[in-house]
Amino acid sequence: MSDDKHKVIPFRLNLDKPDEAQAWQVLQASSGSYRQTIVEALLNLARATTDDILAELRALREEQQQELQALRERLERIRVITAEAAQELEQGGELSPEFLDNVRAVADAHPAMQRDD
Amino acid sequence: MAVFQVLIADIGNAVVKGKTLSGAEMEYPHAVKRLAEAKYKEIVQRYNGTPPVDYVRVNGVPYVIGEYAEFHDAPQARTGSGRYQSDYYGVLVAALLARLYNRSGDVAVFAGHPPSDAIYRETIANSLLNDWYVEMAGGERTFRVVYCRTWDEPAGGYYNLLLSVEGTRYQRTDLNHGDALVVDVGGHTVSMLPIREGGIVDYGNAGSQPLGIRSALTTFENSLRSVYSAETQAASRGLSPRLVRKAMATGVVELSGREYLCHDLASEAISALLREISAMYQRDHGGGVAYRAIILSGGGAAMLYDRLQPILGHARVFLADDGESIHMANVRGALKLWRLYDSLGVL
Repeated sequence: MSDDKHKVIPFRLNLDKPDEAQAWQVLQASSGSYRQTIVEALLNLARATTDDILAELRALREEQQQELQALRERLERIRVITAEAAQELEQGGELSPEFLDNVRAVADAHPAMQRDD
Repeated sequence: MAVFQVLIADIGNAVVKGKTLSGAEMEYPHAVKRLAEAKYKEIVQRYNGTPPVDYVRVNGVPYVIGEYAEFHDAPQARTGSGRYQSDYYGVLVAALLARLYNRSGDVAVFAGHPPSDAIYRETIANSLLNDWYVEMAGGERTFRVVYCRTWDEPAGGYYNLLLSVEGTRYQRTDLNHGDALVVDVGGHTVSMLPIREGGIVDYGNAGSQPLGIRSALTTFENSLRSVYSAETQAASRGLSPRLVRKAMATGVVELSGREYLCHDLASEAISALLREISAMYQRDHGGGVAYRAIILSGGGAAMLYDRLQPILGHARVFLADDGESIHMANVRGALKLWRLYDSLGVL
């Protein structure tokens, strides 16, 4: 396998570019073949990416669960407020004694007139 | 109080409105003209004994009342004390009774008036407490008005919004908190009536001005006659109220079968009325700053609603009823008040 290391790699690296020069150094330092080194590097990259995505998804899920919980709590508060408002409306529908007194005053200001006969 | 029938009456300067306890409603243009006996007989004969309900004989005197009266060039509606006479106000109410009730009987009338006409309450009652023998559409009925009570027209709009249908509960509680100003835009009168917190009617600060849709219509008609002088020259006695109303509403006037645009003239005429309303609102009610709500009532309120909003400059402006039937808001509210009076035993 160590012989493969010195075989020509199936692509060209531009060593003037820092990233590609670094890749070349990794290949040189590797105890495995170029191909094996590249495959392992790609697998590591894929794992890291998958882990990142999973971590992001978990964080997103956590965030959504928190939002969902907040919405549930808000909905519950709305339910309570609505029930209280309905109860208040039901009670508030009754004309207040003060209002009724004022209506009597309106009636007094407009006395009834009837026929004498 | 034991009466056979109850009539809620709002004899507005532009439209006569009535409502019964059972909820039936009636409205017709405020136009009345006394007819000569011979003319009336001729009309009845032409209709083979059953003329339209507008042709009526009240206590033996023939009249044409309502829409047909406008075709007969009825004179302008009476105002002031001259209006509340048996031969005018009484006749209009008798005709309203006959249109709403097809049986004779004792009647209680709950009659509305603008705040400025409060001084005529007794005159109103005296013009109505009578026997009314009405011949209409080939039939006849006798109404004996035995009881009369009055109400302030703008207050009707307030009660219509505030009270439930049966009148004994709040329909909306928010209006009972803080002061409200009722702005009643009628045909010939604009009234503003403050209602203080808890439903106290502030008669001391109530007021009416002889403004209204009719004044805008008159301005508009004069403009039409001036701009289209050649086309309107033949109408020496003035354009028909119906034609002017339609032109004002649509912005198109039809003269001798030809249509002319008149949006600008209508807008100008309404602007003059709005300026007057604005001046009254600012001068007498501090621009509405101290009021928690402004309630718009009367037939003119819906017509002017969009243009009144910026003038009122208030965050809580309510129409006293649906836009299309806002002219009925006052009688509807008065019926609720009557029911509340009844439940309180103050009738």
